[in-house]
Amino acid sequence: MPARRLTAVLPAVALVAFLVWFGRAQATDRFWITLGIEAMWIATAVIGVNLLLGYTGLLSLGHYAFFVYGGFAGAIWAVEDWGLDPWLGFPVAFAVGLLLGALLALTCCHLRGFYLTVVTLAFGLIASTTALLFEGPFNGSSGRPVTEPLDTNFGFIDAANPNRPFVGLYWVGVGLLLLTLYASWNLVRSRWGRAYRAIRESELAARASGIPTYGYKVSAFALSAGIVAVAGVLAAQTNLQVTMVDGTSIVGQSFRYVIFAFFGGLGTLAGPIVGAFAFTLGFGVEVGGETINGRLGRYETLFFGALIIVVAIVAPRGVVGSVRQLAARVVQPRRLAAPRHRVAPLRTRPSTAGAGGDAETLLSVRGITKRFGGLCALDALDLTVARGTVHAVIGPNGSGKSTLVNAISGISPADAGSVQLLGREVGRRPAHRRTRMGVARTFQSCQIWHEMSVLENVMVGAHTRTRNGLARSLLVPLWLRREERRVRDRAWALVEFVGLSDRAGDAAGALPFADQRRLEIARALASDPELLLLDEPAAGMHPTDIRQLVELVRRIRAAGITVLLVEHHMDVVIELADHVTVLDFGRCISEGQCDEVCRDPRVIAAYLGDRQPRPRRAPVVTEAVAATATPPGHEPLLSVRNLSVQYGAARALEGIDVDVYDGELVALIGSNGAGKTTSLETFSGLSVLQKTVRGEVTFLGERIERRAAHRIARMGMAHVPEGRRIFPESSVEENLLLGAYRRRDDGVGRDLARVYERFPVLGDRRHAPAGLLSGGEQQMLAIGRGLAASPRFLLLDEPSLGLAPKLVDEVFRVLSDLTRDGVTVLVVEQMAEQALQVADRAYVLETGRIRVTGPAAEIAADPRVMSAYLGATPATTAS
Amino acid sequence: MSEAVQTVVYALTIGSVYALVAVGYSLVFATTRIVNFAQGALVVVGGYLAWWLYARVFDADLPLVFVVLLVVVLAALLGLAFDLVAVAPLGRFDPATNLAWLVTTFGAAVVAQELVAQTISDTGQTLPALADSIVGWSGSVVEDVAIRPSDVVLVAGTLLVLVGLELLQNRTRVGRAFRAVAQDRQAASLMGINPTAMVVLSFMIAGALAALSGVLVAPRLGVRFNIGLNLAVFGFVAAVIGGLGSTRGAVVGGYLVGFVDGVVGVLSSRADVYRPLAVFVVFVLVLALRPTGLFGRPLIEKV
Repeated sequence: MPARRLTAVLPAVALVAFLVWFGRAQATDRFWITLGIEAMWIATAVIGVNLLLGYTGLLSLGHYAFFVYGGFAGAIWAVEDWGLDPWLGFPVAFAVGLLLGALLALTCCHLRGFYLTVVTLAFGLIASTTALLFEGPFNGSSGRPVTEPLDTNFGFIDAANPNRPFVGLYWVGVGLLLLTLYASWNLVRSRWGRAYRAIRESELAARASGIPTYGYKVSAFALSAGIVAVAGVLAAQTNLQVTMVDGTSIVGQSFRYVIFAFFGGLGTLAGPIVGAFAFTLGFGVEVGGETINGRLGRYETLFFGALIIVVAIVAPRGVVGSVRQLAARVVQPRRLAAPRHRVAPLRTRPSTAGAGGDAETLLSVRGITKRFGGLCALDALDLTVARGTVHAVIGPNGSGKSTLVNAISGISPADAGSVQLLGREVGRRPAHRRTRMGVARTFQSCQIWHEMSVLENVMVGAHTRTRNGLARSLLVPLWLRREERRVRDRAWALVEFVGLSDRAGDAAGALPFADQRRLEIARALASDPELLLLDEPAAGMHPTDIRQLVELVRRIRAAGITVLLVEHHMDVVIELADHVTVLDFGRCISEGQCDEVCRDPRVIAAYLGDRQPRPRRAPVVTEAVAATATPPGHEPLLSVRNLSVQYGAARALEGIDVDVYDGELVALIGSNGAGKTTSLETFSGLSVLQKTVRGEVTFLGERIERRAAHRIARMGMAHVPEGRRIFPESSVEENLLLGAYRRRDDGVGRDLARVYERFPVLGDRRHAPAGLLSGGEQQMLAIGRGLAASPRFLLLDEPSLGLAPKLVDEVFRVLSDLTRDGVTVLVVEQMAEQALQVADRAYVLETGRIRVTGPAAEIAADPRVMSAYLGATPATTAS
Repeated sequence: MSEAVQTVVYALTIGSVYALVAVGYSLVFATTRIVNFAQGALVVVGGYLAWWLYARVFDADLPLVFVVLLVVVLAALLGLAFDLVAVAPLGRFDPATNLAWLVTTFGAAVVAQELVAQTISDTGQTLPALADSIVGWSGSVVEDVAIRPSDVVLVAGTLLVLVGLELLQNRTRVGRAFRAVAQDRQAASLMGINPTAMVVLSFMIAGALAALSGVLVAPRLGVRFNIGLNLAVFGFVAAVIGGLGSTRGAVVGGYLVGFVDGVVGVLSSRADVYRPLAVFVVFVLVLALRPTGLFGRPLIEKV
């Protein structure tokens, strides 16, 4: 038997063996056998809670209400009021739990995070008070006795045993637990279980993969409530009494189940059982209530509280999760064997590629408009994509490319305009319906599910092409589900198609970055799309990986799938695109064949900025000084040596050297994903990747590569970060004062006045919340905030991003002014031409390495700069 | 008419307590994005600390006002301890996916309450009202409703604290920094603000507020363990109605829940039963109109 099967079967065998042993050994001990029954119902209920929290990621603090209602419905109403057989109480309770859970879920599953939790919490309170109000069915706070207990005098139990009814109930509990475990075992290996896990890890990717997330969350909620309700019947039959507790106790008990699930391991099958058994049979501790075993005496509750804190800190994945993690570190990962039945990865379509003007229109976008506050990201844009082609959309940062992809895929629908796919209006359909219609996408930020295996990721992608229902997924074992095998074979073929079959069984999060991107493409292809939207698939990739990617996209096109490619790497666009559309400020500024577009002066201007001659000042540092590593008597303000930074599986920076001398203005240029922002964030201590930093960063003679951002800021380094990052709820003036936070001198007022002088619009709106400013005004505020710090050294990340041309000029004028005032500046800029006009020196970054360095004037004339931005077509530069 | 007066008096007093608890939730949420489920336990601990110091340590020799001040300071330190034990060790994490905070704050609440039960007292106690008489006034009766000095002190003290907090947040350098961290922790650190210090500050203020409400509520509800969970739940609901992370919202939410509570109490003889129902209805209405609470900032999903 393969090791994989063994790891799944062994714990199950061990569990059954333990349950049988316990039932036989403790049959005569009243205390232990009752505790055993309690362990069964708690474990069952915790499996239900884990299904919701551990697999789907929703926290409910009202679930204990389902437990009590289940007890009423299954042990009292069904039997006494409706005259059913006591055994039918279990399915009745399940149905009641399912119904109540679904009703509650329908009211709250559109809410996020704590808002959902509070609704469940309030539900718990209400469920309690309702029961106390309606005396009839519940009999208020005194509760109702169970008048017709289950007949559990099974033949195999010793008739002389005085505990016979309890032993019988124990075996009922064992059956209930194993049935629940069996069903959840089936479920997590079905399209439903995969959808739940996908929602938990990234709801965004789940929506894009065709999962109607609201409906699936409701189904998980209902199912979980049903399971908890069934557990309540067992408790009722054991206690022979059901009583509604007060609302706060409902919350407390629900919390207890959450803690048990967490302790055992959220999102694992065995976790809930381990957690429930540990606390009932092992420690005998009831949270904040009575104790059962009494082995620890009066310190039990203290022990319990301290224990869960320690476990949460040391092993945040719980017992089972941590064991699994350790095992994965010790045991070599196994290669998944290829399936016997081989299928084609892609459905072959009649190819119409390269048919010229008469090609069928696949996608037609008309007048699409999208606004974010004052910013118009898409401005009545038209776009037509011919079937079977690779259509590239390029444009500078912030030109609306990703917004376009979001609007077409329905992740963030447009405000106005129409999107038609093969002549059918997509309209206001939600993202998952569009996936069904044949639109698949990848994300710029690579949204895969890290904790699922590579194969499972692709199988979720096929969600819209499968239809197994929930009942079948719960009850029919895996090996009898034909559809499951079909999906697996197909997913395997796709994994092979993108070249990942060696790692099909590995967790997707363990893949190198480029492989994660290829996996995301495979997942998108699994939905059998007509149109594949690729959002910057080559960003942050190495040249060899990029070549493989280009090859992959060619094969996708050859299969007849139309590709809309958003890309910054011009060499990729040149190699792949049949047609190119260039966006700027949400409008199309040029369109046509690749080489025509690259020659278009408007495109070059949009990418590199206008060339307006400006007087160049004398260099601060002579070339000779800058060239030597340690110039005599001239220490650099900032000195970076052999700096490397790891981003997940990818290298964001690879051994860069940068020097900035006092009073210099240095530009750091390069295309998207080259590592510019990472560099600045590493210098200022902002980077979340600080732990992965190798090499040295020295500022004012002190090593700072591991120093906290606020301490670096206090040394006199100000960083105007990417995306402005102003404080939207604070006023303009407060933002500026925050910029001056570390200052104790009395020049703050004067400096603020100078900022207002420089940007009069900020002065006019100084008491307005900064979030109400337009994008350009916010950018000015961000720069002003940096200036208010009166910094020794100013880092600016894309200061001209999203600004109108007039404002861009203003920004660069400010930069030259600053250097005249003696401030040292390091600027990251996409508008390379303009940055080079004002800069003294420049570094050109390409995929994490410094490609060219030297005086700005020389760099401006260097054809390699052009190629770093627009790919290998330097001849087209108009100068 | 007397019912209206009674409603207002009750709504103001109980609303003050909810508001204090809700503000505690909100401050900690603002800096850490977690909900400190130990907030209710801190109320209980504060009450018992005050009783212990007043009745046992100082044998009622020290005026209660000084005891309360001492308790507030101790509770602030307790808040700090909560941060150090339950939240800081988790390091930087995404509260939405790593639920360890849920367990640690709950565990810390269990430990804190149990320590009190084991060392101070495990039965209900009473604490004299902070003001048995305000100079020259020992209470009045309006429309048959008794208005006691302790009620006035409860409401006035709460309002004073809340206004002070509002001024601290909006008018001072520290307050500005605090709000900056709440809005964008990373950007705040670029301004030279130490975000960890602000997290500690939020826990300390939350601890102090909880203890204060424990003392103020004692004349009405007594010093008991079973009020903790109740206050924790309603305070949490109040904080969410107001918009988690917003101090003003928490105050408004607190008084709103208090008002609903009061109205139900007057209209129905079974207030304990109808109260959660009414609060839930208000909660759902507010969230239907404003999905992120009255003063919450809209959630923007970055794609």
